[in-house]
Amino acid sequence: MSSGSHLSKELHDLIKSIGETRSKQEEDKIIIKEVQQLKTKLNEKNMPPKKVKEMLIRAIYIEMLGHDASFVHINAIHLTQSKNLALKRLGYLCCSLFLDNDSELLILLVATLQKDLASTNVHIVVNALTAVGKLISKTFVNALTEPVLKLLTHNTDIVRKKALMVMQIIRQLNQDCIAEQDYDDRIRRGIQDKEPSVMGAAFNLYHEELKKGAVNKYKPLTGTFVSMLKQIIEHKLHKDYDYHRFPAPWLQIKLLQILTLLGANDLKVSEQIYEVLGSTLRRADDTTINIGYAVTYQCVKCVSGIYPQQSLLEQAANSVSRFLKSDNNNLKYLGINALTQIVSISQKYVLEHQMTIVDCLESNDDTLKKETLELLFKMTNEQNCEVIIQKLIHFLKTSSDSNFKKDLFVKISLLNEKHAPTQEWFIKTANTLFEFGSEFIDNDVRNNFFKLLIDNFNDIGSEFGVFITEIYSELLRNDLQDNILKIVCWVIGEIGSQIYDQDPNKLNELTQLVILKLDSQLESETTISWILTCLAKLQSARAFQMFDQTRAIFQKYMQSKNLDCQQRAIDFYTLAKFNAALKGSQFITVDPKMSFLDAYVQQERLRGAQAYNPSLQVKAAALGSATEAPSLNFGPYSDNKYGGSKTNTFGTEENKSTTQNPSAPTIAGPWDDTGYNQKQPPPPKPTIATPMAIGSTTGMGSNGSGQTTTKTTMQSMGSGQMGLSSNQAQSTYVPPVRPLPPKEDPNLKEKQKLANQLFAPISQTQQQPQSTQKKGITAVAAPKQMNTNPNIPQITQPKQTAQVQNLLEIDEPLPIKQQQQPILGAPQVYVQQPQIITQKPVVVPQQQQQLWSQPPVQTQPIPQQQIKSYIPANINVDQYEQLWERNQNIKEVTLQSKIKSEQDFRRMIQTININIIEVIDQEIICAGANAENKSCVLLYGCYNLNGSLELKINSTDPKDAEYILALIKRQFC
Amino acid sequence: MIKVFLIVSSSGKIRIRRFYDEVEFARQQQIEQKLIVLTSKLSPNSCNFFKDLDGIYDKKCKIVMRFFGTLYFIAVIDEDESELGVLDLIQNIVDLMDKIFDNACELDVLYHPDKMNALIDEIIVAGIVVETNIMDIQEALKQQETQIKNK
Repeated sequence: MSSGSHLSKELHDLIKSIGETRSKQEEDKIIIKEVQQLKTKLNEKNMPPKKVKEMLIRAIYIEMLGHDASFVHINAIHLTQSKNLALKRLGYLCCSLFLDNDSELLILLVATLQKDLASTNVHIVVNALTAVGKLISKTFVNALTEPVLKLLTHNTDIVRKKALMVMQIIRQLNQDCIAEQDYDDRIRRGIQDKEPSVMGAAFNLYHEELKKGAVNKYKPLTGTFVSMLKQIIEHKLHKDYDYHRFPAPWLQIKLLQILTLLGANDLKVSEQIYEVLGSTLRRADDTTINIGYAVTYQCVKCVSGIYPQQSLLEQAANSVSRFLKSDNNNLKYLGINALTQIVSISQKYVLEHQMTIVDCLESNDDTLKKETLELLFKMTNEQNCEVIIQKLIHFLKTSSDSNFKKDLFVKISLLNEKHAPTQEWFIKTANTLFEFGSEFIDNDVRNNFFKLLIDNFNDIGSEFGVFITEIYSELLRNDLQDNILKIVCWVIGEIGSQIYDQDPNKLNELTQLVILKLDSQLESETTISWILTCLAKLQSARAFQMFDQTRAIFQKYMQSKNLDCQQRAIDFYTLAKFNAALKGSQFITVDPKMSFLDAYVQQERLRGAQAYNPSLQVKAAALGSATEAPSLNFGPYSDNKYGGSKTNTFGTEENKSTTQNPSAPTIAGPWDDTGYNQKQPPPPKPTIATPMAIGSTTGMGSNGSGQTTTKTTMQSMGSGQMGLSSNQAQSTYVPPVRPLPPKEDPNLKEKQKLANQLFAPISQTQQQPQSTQKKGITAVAAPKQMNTNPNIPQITQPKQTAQVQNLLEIDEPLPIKQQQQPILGAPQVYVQQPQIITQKPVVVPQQQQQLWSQPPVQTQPIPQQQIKSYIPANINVDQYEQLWERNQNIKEVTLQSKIKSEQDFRRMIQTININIIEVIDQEIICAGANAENKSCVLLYGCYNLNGSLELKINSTDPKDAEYILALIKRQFC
Repeated sequence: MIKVFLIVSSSGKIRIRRFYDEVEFARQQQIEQKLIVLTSKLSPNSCNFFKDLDGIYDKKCKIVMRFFGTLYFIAVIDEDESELGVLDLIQNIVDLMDKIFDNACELDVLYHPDKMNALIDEIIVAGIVVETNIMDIQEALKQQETQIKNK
């Protein structure tokens, strides 16, 4: 140790006083004083060199402490011109430390550097080269290139290797200074240098070039590098280069890096490397010194970097696994890193070391833990996930490092989602995870989890539902953290209420459990909101009985100071009121067989009416709906249950699978059975009960499943769809051909009334005639459902009871403010899909016309015989022709009219309000139906440019033809 | 490539500072401060390697730290450099210091910044390790010293 005796007292004192300072301010004071002193002293003339040297050292010291010492820069430059090597060296050092590449002072250095590079004194040259390496910038590249290149052939190896490095820097700064060919030649001469140190420097240059992407250019050199590596590992280099008797480890590392880049994704090159790589790895493995491990590690990197080879990978994994067992954390860390690289190629070789890897998580070293977790995450698959997740959860339980726990939490949940072997296992793991990592549950985690649950529930059905409801209701009996309670509430509300829809005992039990939670210590008010929502969902279940309790609770929280809580309480309270009213109301039992119609049917048939033949049924429903269905299917998952299937219930038995909402066939349960009619689950809504009851008949009555109690749809909570959709259904029902054009909307209210009237008198037999023909056709799958899938929850089971009509009106004034209700998880949206309307059969011959000429005929007598209105019929050309043949009341006329173009014709058709089926040149066919009695009107028209209009009107009722003709004459002639 | 090479005292004072890429002085100091903070994570048994996850220098970089006596040797290296190699390089440098200063200590680094920097310059040029042969370096440095003394 040096005593520092060669130093002046000042420097010694400076260092000492700085060392004794306790604060930055104190230090600053000393430095400012010191700077003042230095400034004055440096300006003194004839300072002895030793003094100057010391002052610069003091300046270095000041600058190192982070203070500005720019006043000495000029002195440093002066010093480089000194003849004294020590001063020159210090001068260059100061310049390299103090000056930036863009400093203006550098220009003062160039001449000195040029001179020194050409010096005969090796040490001056070396110092100058070092300075050039640090300070050279674009501005001076040209001035210095020449002298540096000359030094490449200097007879001292220290100079040659530094010159090589500086050459590389020069080329980086300005490619034009050295031609590519020239540069290549020079580095090739570098690796051929007789001095290994120069050769080693040249390797760096190759490595840099390869990193920049010049891989193909140097591939031919692979053999050279391989043989060099071979020579090194065989101790062909001078012993001086051994490090702890290990031959030139840094050169080996460098060569391995080069070979990795050369062999990447190239089998041919890699094949040249395999052998030497194998023996390098073996030899490095034999040592027990650090640098040997460094080479091993580099070999592993190389093995995983080049084109993969089985035996090498195996060898590498084995070598590395020994790192993991070492006590040295550095080695463990590198081992984990190396395995991470191997895993990305093949999991096979790493899996056997899995338990060793897991143990690394126990380390108290953060870096190591992080890396290990990363590796485990990458190597987990279906086979080992149970073991690994268990271990990880163990660490989650025991760890106290919250960053690490957060990491663990995220990784475990990802692994669980990805690799969980069974649903049960998944749920249980998730619950444990939530229990021990509840502080990490945020909205994303929750929503993601809910999504998974509901997807699974939709896929698997009730079994899964029962399972998770059981698990979560069990959880509810314990003390829970708020975050978990929220999840439990959601599951009970969303899935539990569906599963136990008709099981009052279970519902009561669940409700009680949930209510109890309100009294427990809760961390935040938002949790109350979750509980309230859960109760609201539960009370929407059909068998729910505890309205008094829930109402009391909602009433209590209507006073809550938490706005969200309050709003929910108010909304749910209102809903509870209606729900209760609903349950209390009388259900009208429908005889799905409609046996009461039998007499009427018989009577009609005796009179000569045709027997019902389904094949003749107009397939109008298929039209139109197909295009609309998907667009309406926006409910997150309700579409499976209600959306697609519901639409079909409204139509007639003609709704084949093609008309179905695309999502409908995915329903879990019997609806995707064979047979077109079995695709029609009965309606869950009262509003459509009437037509449905007509439409679906046989095979349903006896087993008692044909009873539908309407489920007031709490599922519509948060979406408010119900009221809206039922309105649509009513308003458009009357003219069932297709959705009303918007212009008719003003009539909406009137039509609603009408609809209400329509639905009410279902038990009256006025509409008897319609159903006769349907017998035996609409054998809805209901009975089969019962048999094949007893597990299916009750809600999905069709029941056919018409609900008391005024429900529809109840919905309207509900004070649900959708925007204020955060949609929790994925709310069930109960969407009444408007496409139902378009699916109705449209124009049917006389015998069937009564199908949709429902009560209105009786309840609302047509006020005036003279004014008729029509509605478009949505049929295709075939159906048109079919109908045309059947009706014989054809009225043929040729008129002189204003109609001279298709546009005119279309306007005329619009006026009548029927629709165009097809246009062929100047011939147009149209179809419509009388809005009142639904009798069909077919029109064939051919216009001419001269205004002559040929019309053929074929109508079931001849009055229609006359009326239309008169209309056309009046307005268009 | 080595991006930064620092020698820091255990009291948190910079003793040797070498940046091999162009970095502004202000940013240099920020990097130093963060690295000094990081030294607190180093314990005798822990791993000497850190990934620069917080982007102290560059997120792709790795940090190698080693503690000798009262000095932390810190190297920030890029992804290609071998961590273990650099760790042994630090060992190499310490060995060399021992030889040159005869049982080196912090004060030697303080009093002889010129010699220390010359030593490092022999080993690392422009961030690349050019020489690892202790004998060679020692020989070169010795020659310089004798020349200095003779003049």
